[in-house]
Order: sequence, then structure tokens, then C-alpha cells
Amino acid sequence: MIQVNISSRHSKILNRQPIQFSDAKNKHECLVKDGNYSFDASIDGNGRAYNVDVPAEREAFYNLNATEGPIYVLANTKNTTGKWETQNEIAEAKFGWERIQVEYNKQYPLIGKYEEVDAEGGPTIISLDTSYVITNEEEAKSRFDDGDLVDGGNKTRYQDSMMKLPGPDSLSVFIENIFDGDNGEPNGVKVRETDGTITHFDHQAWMEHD
Amino acid sequence: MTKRLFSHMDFVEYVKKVLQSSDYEFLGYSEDDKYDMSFLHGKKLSIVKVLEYYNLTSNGIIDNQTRDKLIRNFFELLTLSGKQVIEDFKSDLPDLKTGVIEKILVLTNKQAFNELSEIMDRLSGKILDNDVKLMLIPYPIIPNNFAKKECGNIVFTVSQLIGAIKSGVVKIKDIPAPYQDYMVTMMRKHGYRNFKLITNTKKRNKKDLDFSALNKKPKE
Repeated sequence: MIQVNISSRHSKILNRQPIQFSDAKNKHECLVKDGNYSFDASIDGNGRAYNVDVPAEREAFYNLNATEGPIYVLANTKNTTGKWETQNEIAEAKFGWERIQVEYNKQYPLIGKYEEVDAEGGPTIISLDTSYVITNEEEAKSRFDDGDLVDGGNKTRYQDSMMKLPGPDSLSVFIENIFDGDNGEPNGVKVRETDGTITHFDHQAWMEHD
Repeated sequence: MTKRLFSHMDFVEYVKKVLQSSDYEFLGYSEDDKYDMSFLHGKKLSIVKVLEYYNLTSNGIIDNQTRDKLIRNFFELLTLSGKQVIEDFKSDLPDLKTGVIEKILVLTNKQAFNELSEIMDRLSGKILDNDVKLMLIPYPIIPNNFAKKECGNIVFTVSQLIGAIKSGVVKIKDIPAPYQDYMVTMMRKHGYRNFKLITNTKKRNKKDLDFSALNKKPKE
């Protein structure tokens, strides 16, 4: 008899169903969780939120998405009001959500919340974005480098950085440039040559600031 | 007026080190506003302008003032007479290749770099001899001596640190001075205007600390 150990394969245990933006938004509005998190609305009835700064939640988030190798978390919106209330805010989030599912072919978009403490000591939500996970390094770098269309498709916005989780027990690493090192070392210079081609070269000058 | 944490010369010095660690031999700083320094690259003279200025709108693209400044700096380099610059160096560098000059515009932000690249692509049919190279060299570099237990980055660029802050891995309050104030400013430059409340808290706290240090109470 063949025995299969599924205890470490969180992704096999949890029931995930791709859902539409409106359902995800409703589930997120019912969520009671402070601080920063990535909310996966596709899990079970109510969805689950993961704070990657908490080791157990980071591990659960990793196991939800992969069994080995690094995973990459990329945002594709830039919400700077911290809410989805106005028509524009909702439209941008819905556009981001559907783009992840349809164009990027990722079935489980996330809602990423960033919260800070304001002058009175209370929480202020700074940002509420849609994001997604890519498990293939080349695909992640390519998508990150391509940016996302904004302003009715007239402009391309490039995210500040993407998050890499090297493994379930590893600390997260933030990458700005696809030429950055394994620990985000900013050792690659991106060059646009005079004929428009893109090249790069490496340097070690950043090490003086280590 | 408060002193900026990173001066233009700080950016220039870092770019100098980056290029020197490649195969660029430093020749000197420029007295001309149109470029910052010159290098010998092989047998070619190379002049470098560093532009650290940028502001992003709340939807993440560069604002109009940034766009104007990028285009102006690009055209200033483009129209700079290479022959005249070469003449200035020819007597000291007899082996200098006199027909060609390399012009480099260095930017520190990816959005600015990519948007200027796109503008240059659109202009490519109109400019017959573009001799300006663009380089993306993020600076400042902030050592990670405050979030080693939370984050695997050895150092941070501004954009990396914004990512770490936004994901909750690094807390603004844990970033040491003087980088904390600097990052609040940079978050605002990147379109996150809600940060004003946090700055007010800091100012109020600083005021309180100043009074206690002087062992005086503020006037009611």
C-alpha cells in the first residue's frame, strides 16, 4: 500500500475556489484582523489572511502556494488611499483582480493591506492593493519587469519591489531590479544603450554600505 | 532650511564608485552644469550626468515636473558638443579616440528610468544620432542593521525598503534616525501622501524631548 504524507502539503488540504472580485471584496469587509496582511479570499467560506511578519503565518502562506523553491508576491495596483469606496478605487481594484485571473492566469488573487499608526496612536490604512503569487522565477522576473498598464492603457507603472519568500522557514527578501542578488543586493546596473537595447553590468559598490 | 540627508555629491560619488568598479577610469569632476564627471572608457571619453530628482503621482507614474526635468536633462546632454568636450581633454590624453564621446544620464528610480526610455523610444525616429545612454543606479543604499530578524535583505534601496514597509515586514518606527524621517519623505515622494500624520507625531515627540533636555517646561 502506498502511503502519502499530506501533512506538510497545506495547499492540498485547504479548499480553494477561484472567486470574483465582488465576492472577495465582501469577504474582506467581513474580515476582522488588524495590521498588515495578504488576504486570500479563495480559501474555505471566509478566506484567510496571512501576516508574513509572523513566522507561523508566513510558513502557512508559503505552504499554501508551493512545496519547494522560492515564491514571489507581486502587486499589480497602487492604492494610496487605503480604502475601496469611491468608484475609481473600486474600479482600479476590480481591474487589477480580473487582470490577475484572466491575463496573468493566476486563479487566486490576494488583497494586500498596509496599515500604519497615526498621530493619535490609531491605525491608518495606507494602502489596499491586489496582488498575486508566482512560483516560477523567470516568470516572476519577467512579469515584474514588464510593469502594469495604467491610465487607460497609456502608461506603464512599475512596482517599487516584489517580495521573494525563499522557503517556508526563510525570511522574505525584497527585490527592486531583476538583476538584484539572492538577498536583494543591488549589484546590477540596468543600461539603455543608445540604440534602445537593454543591457546590464554588475558592480560591488553597494558593499561599502553593508 | 534643513540640510538634505543625501546631497547631490553623495549620489555622484556613489555613481563614480559603481562605474570605477566596472571598466571606467575616473578623470575628474566637471565645472559645467551639463554633466557631473568624466571617465575614460577604453579609449573613449565618457561624460556622466546624475539626476536623482523624481516624484511619483499617487498612481505610480512620474509627475509632470519630473517628466520635464528628465527630458530637459536628456536634451542638454544630447545637444552638448562632444567635439568641444574632447578638445578639453585631448592635450592630457593623447590616445583618446577623438571621433566618439559616450554620454551617460544616470537615474536612481526605476519608474523614471523606464518612462524616459519610453520617451526616447518614441523620439527615436526624430533624433537621428542619439548618443545618450541611460543607466539605472539606485541610491541611497541603507544598511539593514535594524530588521535583520525580519528581513533577508543585507542592504535596502529606497524601493526595496518601501516594499518591506508596505508588507509589514519592516515598521517605520523601527527604522533608525536619520533614515526614518528620510523614508517618510520618500514614501510621500512615491505617492503615499497619508504619511503626514506620522511625521507630526515625530515632531511633537522631538519637541517634548527638547524641553526635558533643557530641564525647562514650555510656556502654557
